[in-house]
Amino acid sequence: MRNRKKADECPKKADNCTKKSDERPKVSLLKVILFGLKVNMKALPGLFICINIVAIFHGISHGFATFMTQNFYDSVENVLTGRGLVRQACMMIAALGLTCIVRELLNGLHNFMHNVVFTKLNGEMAKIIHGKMACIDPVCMEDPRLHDDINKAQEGAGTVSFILNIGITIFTFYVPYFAFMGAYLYYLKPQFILAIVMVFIPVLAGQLMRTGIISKFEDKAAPVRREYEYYEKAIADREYFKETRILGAFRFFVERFGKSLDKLGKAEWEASRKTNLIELAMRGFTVAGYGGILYMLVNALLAGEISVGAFAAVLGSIGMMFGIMEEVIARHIGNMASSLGKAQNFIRFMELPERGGEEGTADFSKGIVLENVSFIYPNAECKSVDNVSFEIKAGETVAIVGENGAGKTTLIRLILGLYKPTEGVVRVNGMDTSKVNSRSLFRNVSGVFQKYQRYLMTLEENIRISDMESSAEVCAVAEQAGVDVEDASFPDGYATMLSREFDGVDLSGGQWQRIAISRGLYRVHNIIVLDEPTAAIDPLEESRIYKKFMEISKGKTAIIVTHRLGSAKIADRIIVMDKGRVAATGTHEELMESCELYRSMFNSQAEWYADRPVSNGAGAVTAAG
Amino acid sequence: MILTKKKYGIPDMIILPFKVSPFYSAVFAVQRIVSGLMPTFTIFATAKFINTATAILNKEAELRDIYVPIALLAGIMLYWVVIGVLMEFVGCRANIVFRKKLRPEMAEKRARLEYRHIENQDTADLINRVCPVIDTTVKDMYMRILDIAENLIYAAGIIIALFTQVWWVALLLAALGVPILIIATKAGERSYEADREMSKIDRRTWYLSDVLKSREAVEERSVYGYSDRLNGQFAEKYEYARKFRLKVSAKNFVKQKMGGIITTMLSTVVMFAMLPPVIQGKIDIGMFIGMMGGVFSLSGKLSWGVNWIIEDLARKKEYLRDLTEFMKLDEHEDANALPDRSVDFRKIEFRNVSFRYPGTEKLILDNISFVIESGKHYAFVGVNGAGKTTVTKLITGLYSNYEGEILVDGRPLRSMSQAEIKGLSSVVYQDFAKYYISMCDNIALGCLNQEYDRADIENAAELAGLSDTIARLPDGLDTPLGKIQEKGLDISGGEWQRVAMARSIVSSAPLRILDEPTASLDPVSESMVYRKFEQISKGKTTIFISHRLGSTRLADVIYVIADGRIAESGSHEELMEKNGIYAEMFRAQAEWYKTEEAGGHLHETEWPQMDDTEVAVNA
Repeated sequence: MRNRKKADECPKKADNCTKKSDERPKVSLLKVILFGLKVNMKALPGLFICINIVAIFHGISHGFATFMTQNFYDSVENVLTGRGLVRQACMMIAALGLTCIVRELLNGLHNFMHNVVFTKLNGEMAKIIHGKMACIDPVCMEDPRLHDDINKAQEGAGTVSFILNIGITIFTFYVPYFAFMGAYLYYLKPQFILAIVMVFIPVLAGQLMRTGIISKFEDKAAPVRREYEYYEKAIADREYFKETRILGAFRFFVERFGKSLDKLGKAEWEASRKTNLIELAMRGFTVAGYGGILYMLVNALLAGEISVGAFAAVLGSIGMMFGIMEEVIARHIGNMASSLGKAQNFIRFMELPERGGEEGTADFSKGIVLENVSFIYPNAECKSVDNVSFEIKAGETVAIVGENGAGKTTLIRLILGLYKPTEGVVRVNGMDTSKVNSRSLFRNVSGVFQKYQRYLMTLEENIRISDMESSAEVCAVAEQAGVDVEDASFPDGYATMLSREFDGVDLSGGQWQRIAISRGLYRVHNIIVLDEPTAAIDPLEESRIYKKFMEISKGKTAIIVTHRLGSAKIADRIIVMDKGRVAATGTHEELMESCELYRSMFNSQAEWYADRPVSNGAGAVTAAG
Repeated sequence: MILTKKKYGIPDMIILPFKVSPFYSAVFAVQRIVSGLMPTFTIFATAKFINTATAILNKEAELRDIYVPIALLAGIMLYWVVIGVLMEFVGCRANIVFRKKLRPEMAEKRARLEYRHIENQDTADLINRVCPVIDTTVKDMYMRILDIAENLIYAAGIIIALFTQVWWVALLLAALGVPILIIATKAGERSYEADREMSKIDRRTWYLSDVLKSREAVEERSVYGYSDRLNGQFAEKYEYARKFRLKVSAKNFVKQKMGGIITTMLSTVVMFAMLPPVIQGKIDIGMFIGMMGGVFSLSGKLSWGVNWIIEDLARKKEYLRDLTEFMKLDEHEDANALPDRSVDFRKIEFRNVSFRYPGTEKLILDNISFVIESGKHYAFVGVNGAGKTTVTKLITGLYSNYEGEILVDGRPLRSMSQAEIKGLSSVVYQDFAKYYISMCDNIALGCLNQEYDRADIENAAELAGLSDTIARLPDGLDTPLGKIQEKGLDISGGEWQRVAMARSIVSSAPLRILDEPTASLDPVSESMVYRKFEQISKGKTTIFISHRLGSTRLADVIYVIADGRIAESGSHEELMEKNGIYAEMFRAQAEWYKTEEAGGHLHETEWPQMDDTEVAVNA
């Protein structure tokens, strides 16, 4: 709720990425099915046709077995009443046996093929999602309104295959079954066709009530469930363990845990009682339908209109008709309705805007020019970067400094072309970066980012991932970045799997960081960005890293980002960011002379290392927030 | 106690549910037995009905004779229509009871565990596998046993009924049914194994998918452009696992369907066998038809459901193995006691203490000795992994497998009760806990062992600098924090940290430890936190832990820890005078903030070789 309100107050919605959050397009069922069909026909056209043919025969085989059962019973009765021969009865037995065997085979084949299609499709969908993910405009990742679509795309893709499967199976399996049964019942006695209605109506009525009434009871327990799960965590999860133990807070939480369990039990029972009472009432319809059919059958039997065999065969199949009808209406169609939402997540995901752009060669080594660049995140209120203009010359080393939230990282993303500016233009070698596709744009770009990834792969794969086309050795960059392969933490050298989960080793933050840096260096580049990948480490060490980094990057354009001013001094030029704007640019000395903001930031950080004692400033703690 | 330290096996699939709730376990059992007998009952009801109907048609019986058989048939129908819903009621009740009895017991067991089990990845995984599903699993495995029982009763009933009519066919059916069941069992186990074999590959496959989809990885994914290649790897791995599974499931399908076809053939044999006695009038037509229905439904049941039951049972057996392991984990007897508030000390001494984390080689503390005297302020400094945080874990009794002695006024820490150890110190951890309860309760957790009134809490909150935060929150101190409760509000990381400090302030413990709670803050803000905390803690003993030196000058005594020992000790001035490691570190850090010529001393740029073993253990 609160988020939405914020969005409404937002004076200027950025609209380059989504439609307005409140009126998101509803995706129709037909569209979902068509999409699934397209993927399916592309991935497994032959199998797809086969499975539907098998489904038709499978559906009919169930009805046919009922028909054959009657014929068999009739033939036996005929023998008894002297109207038939034993040989005929024997043939009927054989025919019924054969029918049942064929039905078994069709059933096995249908299920198995379904299994094949489903797992194959699952993989295809994942590949499609990955492909789409690579093309999506990166700024979409920052839009909270799209998180659901992105996070749930995979789940949604599963529902697309699910919905497609049901949509088709209804026509290829369920309709043929009921059509056959209808025809058979009609042939026995025209009024018997009512039996199908007597099965259909109760199940449908039940389902309608379920969606209408029962869904209201659901999820009332959800907040209580969250609470009780949380208290359990607070008692014994790793995150809380130390403190809960030392504070002696066990009793406190276990008491709350117990209370929330009771509350949850009550809420669940309440919901279950109501739903099941309604369900029980709805069973009344089923009983009525069942009873109606039984009444018709008994009447017809006693009136001599149908044979004992027909009676027994139909009686034996009523359960199955109800079972199958419930399967299709309550389970399948019911689930289809509730899973349409997830499928919509997927379809909307597939329709997210892509980065696009033309082929071209963006030669970053020739310098970068920013002209009046502004940027506002989707759904945000204020500009993160506000009318920024400057130039980075070829081979120059630039440091961008500023406090948290000053817009440093956003600026980096604009410079690289990850984001397209909301206003203004970024030119690389005279070329507008927003018009070039990402492959061309990043061909010679590398970086070490604030959120560098810890890939659960081998050490070598972790480095190579930055340039998978390259066949260069990784040793050189590993050494440059200070990754010591001889160290005991890498028992298998470069082949060491860096994940406990995959039977490898755990690394410390410092080691991961060096790997991230060697990854950045491994990619062939003529411009490299170092965006504060050092938050967790000592300022001294950070500065050393930056210094070393500069040495390696000699002759190449390099941009470093930091909030620790001590490290910025080594750059050719420092850009001071403040609230999205460039407050000043210059060398350290120039800025100390001319920029009040820079000077005060620098001095306050230096104070702790000055030779005089620290002053006891008021409101000290406030700065910590 | 329902769960005890023992080896759990298949009998426990029945024993445990009965221990939890004899009533519901019995209700489930009775219902399943009735359901198992129902098909046999149906045979006789059908026979009775058809015979009566035939008699009526032949004018050998009255119309009213049909009412009882119809009622029987209708009764059976009614049973099947409503039993599912009725059992939903019972099931819901049972779920609640199972959860209520098992989850708190598990939580208590977990809370008593030795701390090393929490930090060790393997046991932590074990705990996560066992605990969150204990209630549902105990119930589910009982259900699988009942599934089997129901099917056996079903089969036995039909076979016995058949035995009374044509005995040799019944024996044949029973004899051939056994191998079919064995095949189904094997198939079930095989598909469970295949699933296990593939689950590792699956995890890797879907990990690649995560990389390709994650929002956090967007920068690297775009700039490094690895999507195509990784997608290829994903497809390769996915197809490999898919084809492997497909082979197994194809074999299983064949086996299963062979079973189905054999039972269908058997049913056909039964029909042939019954034909002569029917014609001879030894078996009436009603019984024949009833029996046929029973035999066909049995063959369907045998070929469909068994596989899955067995597969799931194999999974549950695995769970019982895990449960056995979990129950074996060591625990502390009085781990959940409240802190003893009468504890005080004059001197804590570490005497030649050595320590390594369980399962690791490296000595984190190597023969370390130092003294903490009451009323003084201490700082522990050193690079990451030097062993600073480990010291606090020993003082707070989380680990006791150290060599040497930790003495509190001459008394070994090991001989103190958990309550006493807890009463000794309050710690603001690096990774302090954010309890999603009200701010007031959050702070009061620090003084659960004493009477307190609201004024104490308010006072502590104010001292910790929370006044502005409280003023901003809708219900002040009583606002639930975090997103768990509906009205809950989140506060910033810095505010959470101050809540943790307030907790320490209300604590009666004589020793306060502040363990680098500031990893995300820049050094200046961190130093300010320390300074404020020192002001608040006048009269108490405090230990500050940091790898950044700016703040250390506040301390009376600085212990420089390197390689698991005290390398230097003294006040800031003394240590600067001494011109040793501390002075070097301090100057080096200060270097970057000298206003004159930058970085003069650092032309030789070696990469810092941090020793991060400690971090790795904690990670």
